[in-house]
Amino acid sequence: MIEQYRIVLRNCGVIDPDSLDDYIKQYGYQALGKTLAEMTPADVVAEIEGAGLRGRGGGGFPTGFKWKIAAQQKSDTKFVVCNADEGDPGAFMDRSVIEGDPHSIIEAMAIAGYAIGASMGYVYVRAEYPLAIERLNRAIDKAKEKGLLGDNILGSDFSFDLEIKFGAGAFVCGEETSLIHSIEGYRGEPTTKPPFPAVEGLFGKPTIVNNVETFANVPAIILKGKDWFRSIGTESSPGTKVFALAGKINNTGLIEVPMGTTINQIIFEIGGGIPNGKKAKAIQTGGPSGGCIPVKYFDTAIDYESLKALESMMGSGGMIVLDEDTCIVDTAKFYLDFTVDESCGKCTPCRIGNKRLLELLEKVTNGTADENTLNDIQSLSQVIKDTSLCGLGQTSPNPVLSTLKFFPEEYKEHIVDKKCSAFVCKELYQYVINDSCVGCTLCSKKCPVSCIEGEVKGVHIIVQDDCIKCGKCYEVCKFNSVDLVPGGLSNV
Amino acid sequence: MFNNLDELKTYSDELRNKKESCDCVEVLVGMSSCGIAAGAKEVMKALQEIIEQRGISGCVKVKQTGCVGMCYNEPTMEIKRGDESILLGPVNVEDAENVVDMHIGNELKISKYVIGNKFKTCLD
Repeated sequence: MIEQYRIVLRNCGVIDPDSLDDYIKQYGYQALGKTLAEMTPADVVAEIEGAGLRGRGGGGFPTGFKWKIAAQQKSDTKFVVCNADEGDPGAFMDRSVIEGDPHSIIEAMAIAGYAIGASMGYVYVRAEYPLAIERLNRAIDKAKEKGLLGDNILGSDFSFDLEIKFGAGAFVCGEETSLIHSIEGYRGEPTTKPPFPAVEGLFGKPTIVNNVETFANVPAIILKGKDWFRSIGTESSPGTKVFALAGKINNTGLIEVPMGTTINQIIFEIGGGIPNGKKAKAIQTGGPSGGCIPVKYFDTAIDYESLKALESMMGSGGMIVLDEDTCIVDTAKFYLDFTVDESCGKCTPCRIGNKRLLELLEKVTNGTADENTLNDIQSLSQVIKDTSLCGLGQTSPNPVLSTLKFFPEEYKEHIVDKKCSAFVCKELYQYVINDSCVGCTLCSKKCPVSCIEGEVKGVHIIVQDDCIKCGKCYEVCKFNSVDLVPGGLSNV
Repeated sequence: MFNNLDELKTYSDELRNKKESCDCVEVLVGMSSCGIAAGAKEVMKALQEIIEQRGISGCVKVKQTGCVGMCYNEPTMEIKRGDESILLGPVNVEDAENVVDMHIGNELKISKYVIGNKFKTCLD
C-alpha cells in the first residue's frame, strides 16, 4: 500500500496560514537564514541543480539550470517571478499551497533572489483566487515586520522585496513570456524565445519564472540537502509530485506522492477507485496540453519522461479520471474547446487552426464526418504543433492526437458506424419506446417539448424530429419501456 | 525582529518546546477556499460556541488551517492532543456537538467521523 509523502504540502492543513509563529515553529525561514549565513549564491544554485529539481508547472525544465543562467547574466537589476496563474481544468495545487502555506513561497523566492542576484520579486496570482491573495498579502506584511523580508534580511546585506500582481484570467498568461508582458502592463501575449526570460525577461532584465510548487520544494532542499531530495522519486525526476485527483474517482482531492508511483497506485490505493462499480477507461493528465492514458498503461511509474512517452505530459498535475461512460472523442473536444476559448489570437495556427480542428471534431461527434476527416485531423494537428508561437498552441492538439492514437476504434465507430457507445454524442443516439409500454402517459406528461404521442393504455411513440434528447422519459418510466439506442442521425 | 539566524533558530526551538500548562486540545479546521465553500466557517463558529457552552474553552483551542487535500470529506478538521492526532470529516454544523462530545470531551479514537491520521511529511 503506497503512502503519501509530503514535501510541498508539508504545512498545508498543519499550520495556521495567518500565523508567522506557526511557520517558524516548522523550521520556517531557516533555509533562507542558512543560505544568507552559510552559503554563497553559487552554492545555492549548485544545491538546487544538484538536487535535480525540475519545473513543477509542467515542462519539467531543470530549475537549477534556469537559476544558473540568470545568475550568470551581468545586470544591475534582476527579477524573480512566481507563476501562480493556475489555469488547467481540474488543477488546484497552487491555490492550496498559497492558501495553506504562503510563507514557504515568500521564503523560497527570497532564496532564489539571493541565488541569482535579484532584489525584487513578483507573485503573479490569478484574481480568481481572492483568499490566496489575501493570505499572501498578510504573510508578506508579517515577514517584513520581523526582518524576514525587505531590507537587510536577518541582519545580512541582502535585501529582497515582493509584490503581488493579479492575472486577469487569461490561460495564456501561464506561459512565461505572456506572464511577463502582463506584469509589464502589456497585453498577455507570448513572444518568441530566445531570448529566454533568464537572459532578457521582465522589463528587459534577467528573470526567472518558477511555478508555486517548484518554489515550495526549495526551502526543504536547502534545509535537508540535495542528496536527501535525490533519494526520493526517480533518477531523472527526483522528489515528489502533487496531483489533483478529479473526475470519476472516489477520493477526489490533492495528494502528494514520490515520483515513480504508478497510476494504479494513485487511482486505486490512494484515490479509492472508481465510483458506482464502474470500470476505469483512461486518465487525462497535463490539462489542455496533455493527453489521455488508457487503462492498459496504468502500471506506468509516473515521471516526466514516462508520461511524455505515452503522448501525455506531467503538466501542473491535474489528473482527471475517465470511466467507461466517457466518450473519448467528446473529451478531446472539451479540451480543444477550452484551447479555442483561451487562444490569445496572436498567431494564425493557434487562432484559426484550432478552430478548424474543433470543427472537424464536431463533424466526428455529430455524424457528418467521412473517411477523410481523420487524415485532416492528423495533418492539421501536426501543422498547429509545428508552427504555433508558444507552448499553448504547440501542445493544443495533444488531447486529440493522444486519443486518436490510443482509441482509434472509438473515432472509427463515430465516423463509420455513426455510433457513440458511451451515449454522450447527442446526434448519434435516440430514445425509443418499446412494446412493453403500458400507456401510463407519465413520459408524455413529463416531456418538456411534448413530443411523445399515444393513447392512454396504448404504446406511445417519441416523435424523433422534435426530441431534444433530455432523457426525461428514460428517467421517469417505471416499466423500462424507454430504450437508449444508437442511430437517430436522420434528425441532423 | 530577527537580527540573525541564531535568533530565529532559538525562537523556533522555544515554540516547539513550549509545554502547554494543561492537556490542551487543538482543533484545526480546514479553511481554504474549498473548506469554506463546504461550510467550514459556520462549523468553526458552531464548535467555538459549543466549547464555550461546555465551559472547556480554557483548554481547547480552535484554529484555522489550510487544506489537507481531502476534498471528498470537506469540511475536515484535525484534533490534536499532544503528539496524538486524528483527522475528521465531513463535519457539518449539525455534527459539531457530536464531535465536541466524542472527540474533545471524551478521547474517542474511532467514530464515523474519523478519516485517518496525519500525512507523513519531510518535517517529521
